Parts: sequence; structure tokens; C-alpha cells
Amino acid sequence: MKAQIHPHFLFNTLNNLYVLTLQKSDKASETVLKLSEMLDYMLYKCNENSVTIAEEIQLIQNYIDLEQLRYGDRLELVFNKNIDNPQTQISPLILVSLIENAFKHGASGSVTVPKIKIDFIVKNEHLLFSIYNTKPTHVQKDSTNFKKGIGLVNTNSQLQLIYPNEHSIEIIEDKTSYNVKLQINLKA
Amino acid sequence: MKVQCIIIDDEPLAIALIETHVAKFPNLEVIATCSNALEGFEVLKSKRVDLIFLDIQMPLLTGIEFLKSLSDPPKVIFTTAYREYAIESYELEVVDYLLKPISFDRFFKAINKYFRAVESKGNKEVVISAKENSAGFMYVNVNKKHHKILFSEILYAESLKDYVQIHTKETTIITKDKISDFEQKLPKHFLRTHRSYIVNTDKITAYTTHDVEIGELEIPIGVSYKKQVMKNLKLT
Repeated sequence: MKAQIHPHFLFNTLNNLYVLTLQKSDKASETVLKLSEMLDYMLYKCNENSVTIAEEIQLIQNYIDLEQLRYGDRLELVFNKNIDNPQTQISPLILVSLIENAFKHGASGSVTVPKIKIDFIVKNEHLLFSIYNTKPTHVQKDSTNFKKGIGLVNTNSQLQLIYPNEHSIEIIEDKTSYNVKLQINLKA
Repeated sequence: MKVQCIIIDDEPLAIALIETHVAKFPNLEVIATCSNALEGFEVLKSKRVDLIFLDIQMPLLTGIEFLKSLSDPPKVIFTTAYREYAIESYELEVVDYLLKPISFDRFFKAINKYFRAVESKGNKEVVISAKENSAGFMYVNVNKKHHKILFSEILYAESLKDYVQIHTKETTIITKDKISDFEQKLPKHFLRTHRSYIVNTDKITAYTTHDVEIGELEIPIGVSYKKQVMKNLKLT
């Protein structure tokens, strides 16, 4: 299954990068490297069966940094990591579509300061991943074909294939927020 | 009177880019920037807006929904990373549809389209100028209609007092302009050879110390231009 990063993410990032180069901003070089690392990961690493937690976290961090460049100070973001062994193996790119969803529905859907909170805990080869985002006060018709839940459906079928009966997923949703909690036994 | 523009985009850097591009046009000005369509409504209520640079995918209301909700919208240029709305945007009769990343060349063309659109509506005449022109063509104003001329088609231009006669292989176009002002709008390979003449050096077939030839045509070299012309022709 191909990674769920959308082309518009790439083009929006390139547009921002173009501005940074015109402004001769120091952020430009940094952004090129992050984007390059991300592409390398998504084009090549994703063919491997497993990667280290450290690599997966680097991808997530790059993705978050590029999204933050897009939204600037409007977005409040927390990324908590608690990893006992960074060399623990995990199947690549399972979590990224959940994160993209959070940005899509949280960050780009809200007018007031949106919040995204990610917890990434690995202990004894057991992953506890939680992603929380505030929801827009006004729900817009989704004309981008980015149907809510598509990311989740993909993640679910990926999990069924790779970690059958070794994972659990829980969704806590109310009027103002959306939270996905995922647990995986990585020993499997 | 300057063309008053507003920019509506939820990404601060995307706004910065349009502002940078607009700043290159002395006859355009950005009077407001908005991070969502609701702010756009507020600006439209209180100010005269001629042109909106409008992102499509935005919080609360998309650019397309925003435009559909306006009863008498100003001219609109869409700016988006999404390739798939182009067809729908044609139905909305927008001036242009710019895909991110938005280069200056492409932006320049969109602004030209804007001026053509307001011209054809019979609005007040506005002459386009940009500090840089790398597009390979220009528009010249003939009786309020802007004609596109490729630089590569121009053979030479001749001054007729307050008018300039532009000669191409096929036709001759007369536009109201001073030859010295017109000279400024041309790329480097155009050469002033005489008080009344500018030639396209790419078209020169032969030259002497008193004239340059383009096929059968002989264009004089003015005494005061001679030194400069010779220097340029020897370099090319």
C-alpha cells in the first residue's frame, strides 16, 4: 500500500519553500533537507518490512515541522515521546496517515487556535500512540474528496495485514475534539 | 488609480508570496490580507476591491463556496495546490487559475489576463507595466485593445512623434508611446540605432557604418548612436 501523503501537501510545501528562497530565509535550506528526508523515507524505506522507531519518529517530526511552516503560529502542537529502546522495530508509515488526518481536520479546519497533541510511547516492544486534535467549530462540506475516516480505514486494513490480532484502536470523539488511541504489540 | 487587490489564504507564507509578486507591479496594490473567507466578506463590505487572489481549500468556507456566495464579485484569480478544481473554476468565470508553487512568470501572465478582462468590459484603461519582463512577449495598446506581440516577431520599431510603429514580418502596429519609453520595455537584444529607430539585433542580416539591414530593409544609424551601435554589433 502506498503512503497516504497527498500531492497538495507536497505542492503547498514547495510553494512555501519558493517564498523562503525569494526571501533568502535561513529556513529554506532546513526545509529542503526535511522534505528530502521525507521523500527518501516514503519512496525507499517504505519498501522495507520494518524500520526502527527512531527512523519513524524522524519522519513524523519532519512532517510536523513542514506542516507547522504552513500554518505558522496559528497552530498549537505538542509531540510527547517516551521510548525505552529507539531500535525497536516497527512496520513503516502506519501512523503517518493518522497524523495527516489530524492536521487536515484539525489545523486546516479551524479558525481559532487549533491544537494537536501526539503521544508516542514505546515500552517493552509495546506501542501506545495517541493523537488528539480540536475540531472546527463549523463543519465544512468536504469538497476535496478527503473523506473523513479514509485515513483510518487505510490504517485499519494495514494493521490487519501486518499486526493481525496484535493491535487495538479506540476513537474518542465529541463536539470539540477527536482522539485516536492505537496500541500495537511490536513483538509480533 | 491603482488596482486594489486582496489576498485570501490560510497559509501565511502563501500570502507573503503573492505580496512579493504584486509588489513588482506599480499599478497594483494589496489593501488587505485575510486568513479565511469570512474576513474576506468584511473587507468587501467596507472597501473597493478590484481583484481577489483566492485560495480554494481554506477553513470554514472554501474559495469556491465563497465566490459562489457573492452576488457581484470582483475579478478573481484562484491560487491553489489542488489541480482538480480547474474545470469548475472556468464555470465561475475566474480570470485565471494559478497552481502552487506560483512562479513570477506565470503570475505575470495572470495579471495580463486580468487587464485584458477589464479592458474588454470597457472599464477604465489601465496600462500594464512590470519591473521585469521575462515572458518573451508584450501587450501593446491599440485603441484600447491590447495586442500580444512576441519579441521574436518584431523586426524594428519606428518613432512617429507620440506614436510608435512596430513592424513585424506580417503587419505593422501603431501604438501611443514615446520611442524612448517603448525602448525601456524591450529586452536587451533590441538596439536603438537612431533617434527614430529601434532594431531587433536577432533579425539583422548585414550592417555598414551608416545603416543596418534586415533583408531588403535599410535602417539608418544616427551619428550620435554610431559608437554604441558598433560596439554592440561587434559583441553579438
